[in-house]
Amino acid sequence: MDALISKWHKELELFSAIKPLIILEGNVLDQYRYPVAGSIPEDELVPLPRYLHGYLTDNGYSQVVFYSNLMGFMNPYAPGMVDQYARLTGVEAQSGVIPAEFKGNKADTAPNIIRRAMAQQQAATATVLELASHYIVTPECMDQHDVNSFNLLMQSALSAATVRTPLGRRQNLLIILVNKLNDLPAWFYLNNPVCKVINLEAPDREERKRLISGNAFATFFDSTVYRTDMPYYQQHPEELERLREKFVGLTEGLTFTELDAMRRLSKQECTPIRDLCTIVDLYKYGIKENPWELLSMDSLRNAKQDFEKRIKGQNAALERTLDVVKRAVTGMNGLSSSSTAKPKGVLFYAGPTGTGKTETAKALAEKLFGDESACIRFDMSEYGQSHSDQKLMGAPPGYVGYEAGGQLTNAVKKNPFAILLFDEIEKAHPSILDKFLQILEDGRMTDGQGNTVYFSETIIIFTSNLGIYVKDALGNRQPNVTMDMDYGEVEKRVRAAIEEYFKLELGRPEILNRIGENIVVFDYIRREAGEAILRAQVDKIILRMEEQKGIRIQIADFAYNGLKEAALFDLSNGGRGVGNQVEALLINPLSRWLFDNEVLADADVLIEGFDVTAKPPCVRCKVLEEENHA
Amino acid sequence: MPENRYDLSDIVDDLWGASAQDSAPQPAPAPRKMYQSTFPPFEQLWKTADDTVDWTDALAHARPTDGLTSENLWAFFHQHAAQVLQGDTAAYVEVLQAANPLGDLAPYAKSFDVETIDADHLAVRFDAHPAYMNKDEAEIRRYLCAVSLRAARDLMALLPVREVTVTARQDEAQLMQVAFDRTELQKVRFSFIDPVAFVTQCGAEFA
Repeated sequence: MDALISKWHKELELFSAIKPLIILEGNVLDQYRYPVAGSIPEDELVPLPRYLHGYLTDNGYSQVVFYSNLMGFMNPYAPGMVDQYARLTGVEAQSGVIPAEFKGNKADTAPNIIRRAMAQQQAATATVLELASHYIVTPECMDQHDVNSFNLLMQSALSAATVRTPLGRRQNLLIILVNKLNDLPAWFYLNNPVCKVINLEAPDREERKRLISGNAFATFFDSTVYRTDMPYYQQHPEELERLREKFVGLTEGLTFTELDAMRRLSKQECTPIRDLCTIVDLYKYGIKENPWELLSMDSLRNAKQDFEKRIKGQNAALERTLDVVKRAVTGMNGLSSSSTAKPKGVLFYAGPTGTGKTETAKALAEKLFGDESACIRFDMSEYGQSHSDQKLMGAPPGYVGYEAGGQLTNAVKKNPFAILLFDEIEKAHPSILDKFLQILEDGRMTDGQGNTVYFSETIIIFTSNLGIYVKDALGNRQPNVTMDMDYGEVEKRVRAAIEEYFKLELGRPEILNRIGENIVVFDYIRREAGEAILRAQVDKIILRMEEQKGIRIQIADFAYNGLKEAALFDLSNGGRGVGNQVEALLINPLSRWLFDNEVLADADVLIEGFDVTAKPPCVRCKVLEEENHA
Repeated sequence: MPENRYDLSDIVDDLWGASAQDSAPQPAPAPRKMYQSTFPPFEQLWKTADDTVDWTDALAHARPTDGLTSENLWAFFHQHAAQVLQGDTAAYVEVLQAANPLGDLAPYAKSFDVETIDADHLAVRFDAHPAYMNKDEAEIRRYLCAVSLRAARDLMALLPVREVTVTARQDEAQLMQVAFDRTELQKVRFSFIDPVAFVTQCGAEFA
């Protein structure tokens, strides 16, 4: 295999020749794959300090030492280098360590020792400052000693000497490893002509592929499993390639250390080669059987009928929703993008109030995960302030509520297989939408505590009433759609209004792009659907009364028609409006009548009529049992 | 067969420092074991086993990745990994001869004889040690089961086989035979088992 050299390594190679101060920022605690055979074998995963030691010694640096404010100067990979480093800088090493404080500008402090090492011309020297994020409390409130230390480091870089080595001229180097660049004072690296900042990111697709190619592939398996399974894949290399590709897709965003842990986990669990990808779920979520894999085709085939029992009059919306689910189940959701770590599906439910948007999400959760509670609802009107993202993702260290974590990240950590319902998304602060961009694009989010939460097994549903009302030239709210429009017209107008909102009003077309073609417009509850909703609600009340109180209720046809006309008179509030009418016209008057007539259990009651014009509305009933006795 | 570039006697001398730890009879000068340095006490016999050799890691890496195995020993594994993982029984034999995985059980048997049936299956026969055979029947069974179980586990730790059949003999007469399956053994917490009950459950046939 050809050498695969990461971007940061290439940058290091390029800039270490011209800039004496290199700041490596980001994923510094991870392991890295050594790209070319040298003092470290090719493709071996090693911690970053060992990688740097290998790279620097292979490239002519005869003195490589690591400094941390806890340990002082040392080199666990070549302890002898510390003694020579001590001689070069005029200090004494004790048992392979040069103890030195970071703070201050005295002769024996670390910055002064480094300055002497950088200025000498006897040996090519590289000093690596490890865990440099923790040398000072915070860059915003440094005391004079801290400032002096960084000043000395800056001067060291500015006066770095060039040394002749058997491999050519080498510049003495100072390499600083930090988790975040802003752990260092900004004046130290901004506008600093001798400084280069190199970002260390999680391994890209090619790096991950390399990690599971060639002989390294074998290391993911127990020896017996590998010996038994491999002959089949040697005869079917295309299957092996597919398996690798899938694994590479599923592991997007994971660090080398995590991939290595996954490798060991797979081995420990004696995972067969064909089940390689299940190890990703096991590592991320602690489960072997992914609920998505357990979904039966039969249950999905009948899903539309099941949904229609709960959601009336929304054929088009249900079709669109099920399309997304089918795409997720057949594994085609990631085909149009390079990432398979994205959520299983994204839906944007729009439409008038009370048309079944939330109910559809709950029905979907029950269908997919067998439990309505797998639909985790976030009322986005609670996230209207700019700092509300901390409620969702967790406060950063040092802020109140840090320990509690974020509501969204906690929920997904607890239940990674869920429907995430963000109700009334237009009421959230626009800055929160940025967070959703990352979730929709990468399928993951790091909370305030630094834990990564994966959304790749979730379906994300946004609901919104956008497009139902628009503002006219005077800023007054005007209905954009009305009940007398057919569904096609309603859909067209609502879609146009949503696009306008994201593109023009919010100025964030990229969010609209992520939602793509997944805007599902719910129709108004029309007469026929309203009748079905009313029937379902009345039947439910009758059933409950019988089950709980033993009161069997019948409604005369004439009376039911009266109730129907009154309840469906105004359908502009949708199914919820019908429910409100049922409560006002049936539940309240009936319970009043039962109480007043002391019919509290075990009776047959006939509702003969409704007086909907009375204040409050009332029912005319009689107890059938008494009549029968008579 | 690849050329053996390592002097195995040096490796063995480096690693071997055997000393008996219980009242087990002292062995005759026994073939030395390659990577385990002590004789296990009888009560630990079925509870412990050799460390599993990670052949897939040995295939991919020329130097030790576990921080525990010596460079020489790893080099030996690395050299043989590809053939072992192909199920090459000749390589099995070579590894068995070099590693002598049952060497540390010498106090518990007069001899061990390991045979490679195929890539999945090893058979091992051992001659019971007379010191353990002049006891009551329950104790003899306990001894036979403990040694059988340990021998099977040690062989499975060394080679990627799925099954090991163990036969215990005395003066050419068969005392017991049992076949152990790797998948079954992987489910067991050996610290908590009774060796006789477990081996019987595995289908042991006693003479």
